[in-house]
Amino acid sequence: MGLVEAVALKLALPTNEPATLSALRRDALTRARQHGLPTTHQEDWKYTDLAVLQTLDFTPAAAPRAVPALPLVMPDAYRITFINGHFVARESNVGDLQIGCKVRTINAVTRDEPATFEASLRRAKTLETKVLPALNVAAAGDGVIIQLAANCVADRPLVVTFINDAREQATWSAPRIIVEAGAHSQLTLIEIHAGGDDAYCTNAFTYLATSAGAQIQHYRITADGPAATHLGQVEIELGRDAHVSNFALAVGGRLVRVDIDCELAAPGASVTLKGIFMASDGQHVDHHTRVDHRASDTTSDEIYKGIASGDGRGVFNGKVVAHAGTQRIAATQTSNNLLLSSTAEIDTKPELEIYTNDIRCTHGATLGQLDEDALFYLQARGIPRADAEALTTFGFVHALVAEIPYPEVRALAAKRVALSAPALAGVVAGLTL
Amino acid sequence: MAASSSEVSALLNRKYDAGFYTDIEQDQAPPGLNEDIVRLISAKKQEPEWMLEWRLRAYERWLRMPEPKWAHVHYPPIDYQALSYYSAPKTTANLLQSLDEVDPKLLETYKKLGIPLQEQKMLAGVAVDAVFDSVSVHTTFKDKLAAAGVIFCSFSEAVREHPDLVRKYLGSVVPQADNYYAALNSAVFSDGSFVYIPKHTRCPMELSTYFRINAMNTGQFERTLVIADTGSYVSYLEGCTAPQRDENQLHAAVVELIALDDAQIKYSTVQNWYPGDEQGRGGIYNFVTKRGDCRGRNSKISWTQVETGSAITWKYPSCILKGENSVGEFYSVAVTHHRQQADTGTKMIHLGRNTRSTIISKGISAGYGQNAYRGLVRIAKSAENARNYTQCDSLLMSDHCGAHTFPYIEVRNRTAKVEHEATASKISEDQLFYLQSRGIATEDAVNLIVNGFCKEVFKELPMEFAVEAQKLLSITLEGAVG
Amino acid sequence: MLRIENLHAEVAGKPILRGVNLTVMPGEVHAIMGPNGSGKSTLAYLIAGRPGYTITAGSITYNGKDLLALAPEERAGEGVFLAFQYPVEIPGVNNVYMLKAAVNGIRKYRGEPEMGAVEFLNLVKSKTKAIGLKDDLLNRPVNQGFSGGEKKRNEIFQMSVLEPRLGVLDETDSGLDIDALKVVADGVNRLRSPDRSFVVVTHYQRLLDYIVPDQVHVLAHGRIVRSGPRELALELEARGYDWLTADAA
Repeated sequence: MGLVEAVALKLALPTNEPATLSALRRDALTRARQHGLPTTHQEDWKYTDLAVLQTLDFTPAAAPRAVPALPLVMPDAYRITFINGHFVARESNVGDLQIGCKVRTINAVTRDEPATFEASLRRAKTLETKVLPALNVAAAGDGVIIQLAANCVADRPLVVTFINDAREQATWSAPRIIVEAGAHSQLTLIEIHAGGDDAYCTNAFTYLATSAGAQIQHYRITADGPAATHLGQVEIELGRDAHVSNFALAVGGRLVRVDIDCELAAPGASVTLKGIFMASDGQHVDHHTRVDHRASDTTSDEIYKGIASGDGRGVFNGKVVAHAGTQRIAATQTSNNLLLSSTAEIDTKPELEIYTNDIRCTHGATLGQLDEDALFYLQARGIPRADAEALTTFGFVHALVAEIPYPEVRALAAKRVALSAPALAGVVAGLTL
Repeated sequence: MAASSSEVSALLNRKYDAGFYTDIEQDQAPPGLNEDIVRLISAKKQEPEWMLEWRLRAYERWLRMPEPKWAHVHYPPIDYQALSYYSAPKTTANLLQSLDEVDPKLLETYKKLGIPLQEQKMLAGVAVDAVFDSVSVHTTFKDKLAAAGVIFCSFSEAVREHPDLVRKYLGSVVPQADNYYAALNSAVFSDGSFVYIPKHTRCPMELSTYFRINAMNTGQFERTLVIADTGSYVSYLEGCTAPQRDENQLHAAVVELIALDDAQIKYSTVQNWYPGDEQGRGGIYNFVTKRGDCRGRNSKISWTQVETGSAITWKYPSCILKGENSVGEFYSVAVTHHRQQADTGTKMIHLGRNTRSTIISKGISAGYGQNAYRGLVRIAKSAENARNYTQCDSLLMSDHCGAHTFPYIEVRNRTAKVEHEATASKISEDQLFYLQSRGIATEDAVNLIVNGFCKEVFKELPMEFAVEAQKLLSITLEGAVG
Repeated sequence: MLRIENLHAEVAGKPILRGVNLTVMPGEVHAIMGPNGSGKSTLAYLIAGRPGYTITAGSITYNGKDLLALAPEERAGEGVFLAFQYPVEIPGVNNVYMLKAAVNGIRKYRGEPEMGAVEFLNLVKSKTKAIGLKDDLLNRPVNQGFSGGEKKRNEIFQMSVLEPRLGVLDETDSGLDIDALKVVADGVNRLRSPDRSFVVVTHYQRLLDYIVPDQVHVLAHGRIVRSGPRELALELEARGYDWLTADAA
């Protein structure tokens, strides 16, 4: 039985919710059934094959027996933790964040205030247009809804952790995060996915809606287990003068596909997308980003860096659309990639669709060897060639890691990057001061 | 921008210079496509049995293929049964050789297009094959070329006179079932040019084919095959025009190039098919498959195209870089004005070691024109030390037009180095103001800037073509800035 | 220490050096001067082993070893240090991490045990103070976002940590104001010792007011056309290069 049918039959809809919410979920399921899982015949899935999911018999993950070690520990941050899709109160603490801000689990909101959840779902476009987010919503699954009142500035980052530690084969979970950021509110959200060695599948959905002047820093870390399938959808809606920066870091999983869709819906909105992906031996990592400039005076900046090693395959597809009638659009996009072995593969496609002339748009993609001048410089300082290569390769992605303002996140990223390719591990470990 | 509206409207009323129709008696097949039509075309051409069989196989395949829908273009469905698949001026029915036997009306047509077929009047050093609807009407300088061992003739003639070469290479670069239009062409292609450059020969003059669609309700399906044998060099040019009509007409050509060891082929196109009127009525659907095979070591194939015409252009001149150290190049200027749509680009398939490719694409969109670059750079596992550089710039000249970039980069070898750069912007107001403040009129200033934008491509064209291309570009873009 | 004999080198078929001879004894400082394009930087690069040059004739012998047969990192291991004219920016690679890798790369080459973190940090601390390098530059990516003066200072700082036996300074003075120039010169002078030599490549004699050379050589059109005591530099300052280079062309 395939994924869609598994959702339909086994991952039953919650029964205690109002009829309108159930209807919304059922519609989503119907759409998912009609279209089925994406196939490589579809342009957006040209490089990523989900056929393997059709062969697994998915069941929902059971409640955890014990709490495993958290992948990211930030003593100064608020935190919410889910294990196997279940909220773990003991590992959650939102303390003062509740001042001016409502942070609740989706299950709690569905029980107490279902209209709130439903209203958010009705706004999200990808639930209508894409199968995987529709599947996420169709199924039962917990997560978090964060509602920031106007002018509320979260004083510390919020870490939302999803761990799949189920010991059964082929478990499936559908975590979700919804953020509604009121006018001029600010939040730093760190979303991290991790799990054990089993072949689990995470189908995550994150929806960030910003009102005028709101600002969200969103770090999304995929640090899943070596057999995991991670399917993620991030949908970002930007209001007037709102700014969202999204940093996608993919350093785990076997099959990873993350879609990030941004709607710059009102003047002055801006979005920054950064990403690092490490497609190591046995891994397939695919990022698809789409930025829709629907209003004038909107800006987007994007940079993705990827490394493929072993027989890993990395895919990047970035699309920027400047819609008709908009003016003064600025968009940049860069996709830089390295291949560390000749059994690895990188496929990159930096796309532009422009329907207005008042734009400044530059795009670039590179794939290639390391800077020979840098290598010579390091060698001239006494560093052997192989180490010099490892160091510059590490530096290639670390240049982006270094921009993360949180030392714990930086350390996690640097460690996972270094561990992702054997060539990097040695030299980088030797350098730790 | 600064151009006054009266200037603009005056310029918008300009005519498509090549839009006239030649009233000449035609031998035309009835509309529709079936096996009998394929047999009819083959019979008209007095083709050998193997050629007919090849066509019929292609037709069988075409029947089973779906029409591609992935391009960024929009048009109503084409009724393939409403088209006529063969049309020829009656007087050429018995395959003329001498210019004296060519219908004076045809000579007049080519003269009006600026392509006199009398050799003494020709640009020195350019040999021309003139293709009128479905047939080649005349090839110039054949004797001089023959002396060098170069074969330059109509495709029909090549099938009869050089069957071994045709059989060996036909379909070896673009297989029959490569795509829908290539399959259609393989079944019904009427004529085109054939070129063979023998070993270690530098073709003594530029070769050129001039394509003209004249008859109504016909499709044009020409086929070009260029073979450059070991150590040879050839520069080949093609130009195209069609009468101004309210109906859309289909042009589905196939061009195959083969470069053996150390051979070079330079293939230049100035495409000026009728683009349709301001409202998008009429114009040619230019659905063309062009591909070059760098089969030999150190071979080089260079495509240069200036695409100013056609209602819709669907075309990706590509290079298969099989031979070690082989080089592929693609230089393109594509202009879409009014309601024109273009989805064009290239594929560089790196298979051999030390293969290099360069892609320079300049897209200019004006009016409601939609212009898409679509490119593929693929570095196969076997391609050690492959290099690609791609630069892809779009200039947008109105707020209703579109410029799109779809670059696919697929790399499977760690020694590869691939660089893709793309920009999209409107004409720089600073540049425009600077030129205007030096006393240059707006239209002239725009022309200067646009020509500068296209310079990297124009410099690849043979001299006469470069001048022609610049003229065409300024005519196409007249009234575009407003 | 260093013996260059009849060195001919070219880049992409274009001859750059056309028979350079130079002998540097332990403890000596030699200045290489000359007009732009005379081959000064090429000579510096060849000593350090930069790829991209073809040596068509001649040799470089360093402490009895054929330097040209060694990889760049092996030359560094032997004690050769090049202060780059244009120090390379290396994104994402921390300046001090890089230096630690260099220290231990050289130690490994010499068969010495690696330097521990504490010892290394103490070494770095003492040298930064001496060179006047801002602490925050240590933890930035190598040369990235450094001003021109900071880059040159960083080169001298690295040299003082690595303590080479032969220091080659390639136009380290270019683009420096007088204060920075003094810092660079102090860094070099502090390292001067009877068993350490320097080759100082410069366009102007200004630097030689602070780093006093034992000998001055004029390189023109790929050859050393004149050698002399330090006063030669002053003469060049006064008269320019033309009177020397005309014959060499």
